[in-house]
Amino acid sequence: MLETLKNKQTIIASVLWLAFAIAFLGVYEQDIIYNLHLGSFFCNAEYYHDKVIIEDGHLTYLARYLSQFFIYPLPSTIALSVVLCGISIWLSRIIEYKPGNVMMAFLPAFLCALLIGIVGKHMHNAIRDVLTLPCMGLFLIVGNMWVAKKMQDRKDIMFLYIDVALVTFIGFIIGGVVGFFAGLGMACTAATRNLKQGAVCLAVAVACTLYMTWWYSDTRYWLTPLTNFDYKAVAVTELFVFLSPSILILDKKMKSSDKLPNARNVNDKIYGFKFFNIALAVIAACATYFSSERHSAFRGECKLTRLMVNNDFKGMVKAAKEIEEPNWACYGLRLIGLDQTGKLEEDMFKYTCRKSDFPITYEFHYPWLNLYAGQPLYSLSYAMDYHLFKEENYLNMMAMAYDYILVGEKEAAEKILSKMDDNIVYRKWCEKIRKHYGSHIEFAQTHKQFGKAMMGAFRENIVIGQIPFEATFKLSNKMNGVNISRRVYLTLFEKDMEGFKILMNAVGDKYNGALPEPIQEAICILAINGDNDLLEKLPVSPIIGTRANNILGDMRKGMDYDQIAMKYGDSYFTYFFFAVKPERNNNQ
Amino acid sequence: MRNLLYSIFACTVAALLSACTAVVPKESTSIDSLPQIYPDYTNVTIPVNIAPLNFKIESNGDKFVVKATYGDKERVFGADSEGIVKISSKTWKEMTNLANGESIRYDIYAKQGEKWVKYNTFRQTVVSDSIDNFLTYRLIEPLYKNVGHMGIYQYNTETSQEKAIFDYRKNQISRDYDHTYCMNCHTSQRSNPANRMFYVRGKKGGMMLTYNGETKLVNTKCGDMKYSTAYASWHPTLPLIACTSENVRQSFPSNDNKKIYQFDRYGDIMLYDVEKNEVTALYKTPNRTEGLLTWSPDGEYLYYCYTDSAITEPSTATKQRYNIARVKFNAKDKSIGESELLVNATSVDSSAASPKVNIDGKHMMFRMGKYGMYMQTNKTADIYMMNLDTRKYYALDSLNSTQADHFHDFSSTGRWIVFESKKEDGNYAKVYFSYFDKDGVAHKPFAIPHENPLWDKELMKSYNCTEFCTAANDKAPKDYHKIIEDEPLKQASYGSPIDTSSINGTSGASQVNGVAGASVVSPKKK
Repeated sequence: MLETLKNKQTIIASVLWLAFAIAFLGVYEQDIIYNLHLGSFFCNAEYYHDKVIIEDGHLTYLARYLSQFFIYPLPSTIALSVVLCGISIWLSRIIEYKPGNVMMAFLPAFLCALLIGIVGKHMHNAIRDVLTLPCMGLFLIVGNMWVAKKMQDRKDIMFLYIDVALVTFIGFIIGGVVGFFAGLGMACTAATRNLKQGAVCLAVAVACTLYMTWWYSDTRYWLTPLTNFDYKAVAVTELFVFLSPSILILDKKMKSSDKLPNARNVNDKIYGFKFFNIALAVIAACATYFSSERHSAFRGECKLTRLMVNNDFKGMVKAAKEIEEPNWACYGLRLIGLDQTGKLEEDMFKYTCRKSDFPITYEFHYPWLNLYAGQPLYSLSYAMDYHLFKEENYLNMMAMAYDYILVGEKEAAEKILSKMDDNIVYRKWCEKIRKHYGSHIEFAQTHKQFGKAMMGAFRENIVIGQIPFEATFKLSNKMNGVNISRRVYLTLFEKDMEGFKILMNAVGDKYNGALPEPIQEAICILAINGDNDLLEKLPVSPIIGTRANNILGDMRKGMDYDQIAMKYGDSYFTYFFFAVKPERNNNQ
Repeated sequence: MRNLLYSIFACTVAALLSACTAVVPKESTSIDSLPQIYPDYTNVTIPVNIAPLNFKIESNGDKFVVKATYGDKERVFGADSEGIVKISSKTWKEMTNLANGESIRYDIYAKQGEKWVKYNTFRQTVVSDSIDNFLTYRLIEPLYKNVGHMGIYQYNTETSQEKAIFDYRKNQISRDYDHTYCMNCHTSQRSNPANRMFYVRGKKGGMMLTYNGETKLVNTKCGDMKYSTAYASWHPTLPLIACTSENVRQSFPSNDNKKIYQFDRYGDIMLYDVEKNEVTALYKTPNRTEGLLTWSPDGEYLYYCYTDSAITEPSTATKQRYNIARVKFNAKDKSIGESELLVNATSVDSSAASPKVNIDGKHMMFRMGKYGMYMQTNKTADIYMMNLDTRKYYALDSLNSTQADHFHDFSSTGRWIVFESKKEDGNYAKVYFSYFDKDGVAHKPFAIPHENPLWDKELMKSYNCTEFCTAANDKAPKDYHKIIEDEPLKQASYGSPIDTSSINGTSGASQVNGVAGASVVSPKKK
């Protein structure tokens, strides 16, 4: 074992393991794992099938259970990492002792990747904290070394048993994948000695593939990256996963003359261990590369979220400035900071908004944005949507609880809080919130961050209707002046020009003739599109009108965002024409 | 390691033994109140074939012991550390069979400090009137912006197991929104429950119809129909489905306890002949909106609700009010007769909708509130019963609450009512059963049982469109998904004249004579 520790390649591979851990957590945040094990036909018990296997697999329950202890991220990460390392090293030790199965060194790597992916997804949802991920990677390395040392004498455990155990643990479709790789690996190895054995093993792989495809449309899971380019990270990872056995075969052939089949010696252990880590490194490299794009924006998003929950709105504005590549959520969360510090009108659109800077899978910030804008029901509906697609997320549930309290529905708030009670991180917060069940007006007063928006909101009601009405907005009551800018700016943020027009028709005169620049720019955009209605009613500075024409002219000449932003600065014009809002399907 | 395994094994055995050896305390002090249990299963009437009514004791106590007495037997159950009492299916069957026609009596003992206290006895009266084996419903968010995760499920009332009938999420490739479907209204034929249908909306939407073992997706929008078919009711014996052709819209207020305004801007009644794959206009009116409908158990009458109020903008949805009427149906020529107003709700500034007729033909259940037809978010919605002999109706007070009570149905025997209520938290509808006795009295309702009694409390979904069914749906979601993905949408033919100038109250295959309020209709201009 000492030799193993001294082996430079092993140490390098272990460092790569860290990258691998972080990368996989990022990649699998795309929920590919969830979709991989959606189907099963072996399990007849409907309840078991529907609620355990289909939903998420046993590991999800373990992950949910563990993630609730993330009030202390570091110790819990240690615990989780050690467990996962234990499994990975256990497997690698078992495999490497079987001389004919060096190929199988790949298998535990793949399995562990899946394990970490699922657990990581839930960790991520529970804490949304990037700090935990490198911590986990670090302890994976330490645990890797420690468990390898402790387990070096373990032998004679049936691979099949492990396969079955893990398959049950992580879902049945994965069983097909495991079997496929096992069969393929054995076939490649055995074929070098015995053609018949190789053929049998290949048949195992084919059978497993058939198993995967048996369940309707399962093959499409694997084709997903080809049909949906958002999954390119998974596509490349899969590609390397398929290629890595070939790399191992090549390596094995080169060294087999002096290392194999005389196994059960230290060199062989090092040899197997190295293969194991090479496989991981290959996966890590491509996964890290392809997930890094998302993470640069994601880190900013996490930071802004933390600051928002801590009511550090000045900090939010400052942090937003420091984000080099903000995504849509960063943009949205920044609005809350600007609003709370009174800089919404002034600074909202003075922010970089290149198209490539806006990749995001779902609008986490929408519930909060609407909550702070005094629209608790819209906030609630966004939160419910988010809950559907991202499952239990405590920050999202926090927004839901606020919403229910602010509309005076304490029973519904209690439903949310009783779920949050399970997590000791939020237990104290729940107790604190329960004290305000009595009066939602008092709640808004005591929670100053909502006070400004909510005090006006109780008297207002905006109805958004499905078309066919000419007016999709209906102002039931007279608009509260405090909230005008929030509502107007939300329509601008959404690029909802129709909503903006209706709103401005109703409240335009409240600005007393001094319209903020972004609003004037939005009026010009309406005019550019042939709608002069607002332009005729409301005052727009000739300077802004001229600038609108100039920008339009420059865009027609082919100037891109960088050139326009350099010439004119960031403005609602640049936002409107260059920021791409994530698309959603509204076919309810 | 071996020692550790032995320790785990020993602890497990000890835990199991302790659970089996709950004993009634020898000394206890009586408390003059009922124990607080969730769901509230105290003093309810239950069918002999219902699944075990597990519950959680919410009264104060460190430990709980439950003594159940039934027939000449008694059993003692322990509650777990959370106060949850679970009864095995085998034990429960024995309990309900022995108590059939009588009741199961529960005594709950709670250990408070060093002393044991005993709460008042409560009963569960067991009646031999069985409840239908299955219940179908949709699970949906109480508020939404998008389709989200939606599914139609069937619940086995004898085992409390839930199974998906159609749930797109179980088949989707990724969380790609293109693969989401809105779906609604699972309904089956009373005489042959294997014949069933529900709707799938979206790009390739239509009526998912199963008839005589064959399942197909049918596009029922044809001819001069403005909108596709929506709410449907199978004729009890014939291969006919009465359905509305509706334009359902929704609006969402930003800050209002109504949450969603859901309303119809258009509604006519169509008849779909399953065997001919043909749609005919049964009741087509330009200025009146017909809505939720149902057949009488003998198939001779079609009950429906209608409104004459037009929606001009979303908030006027609170002024849209419905009445309930019925028309006689002539199966030979598929025509309808004179309309008969049953519930004139608009005369009392209310709205009545969703008629359901009991198998006895004497009782009609419906919901009534201040406005609208859907009423999911309408707190004034309550369930009412009309005696069709006397034409008098009354509120079913034992069922109603201050929140929305709606989506009701009779079991095939007419002795059980299922309905949805938001009484617990005002947002998430839950399903309740109530015994409807021969005197027309609805007994105290009880929540549908689950193995985990807190299942519905923790569920972040709202039940929707609940309906009884006597046979299981044997198809898996993937079967339906495959039909949607791989099979062509079958186009229904139109059996009515398409010449729109002739469309009036007597159009289509029907002959309507003197329909109240709709008999004189101007010919529609081209």
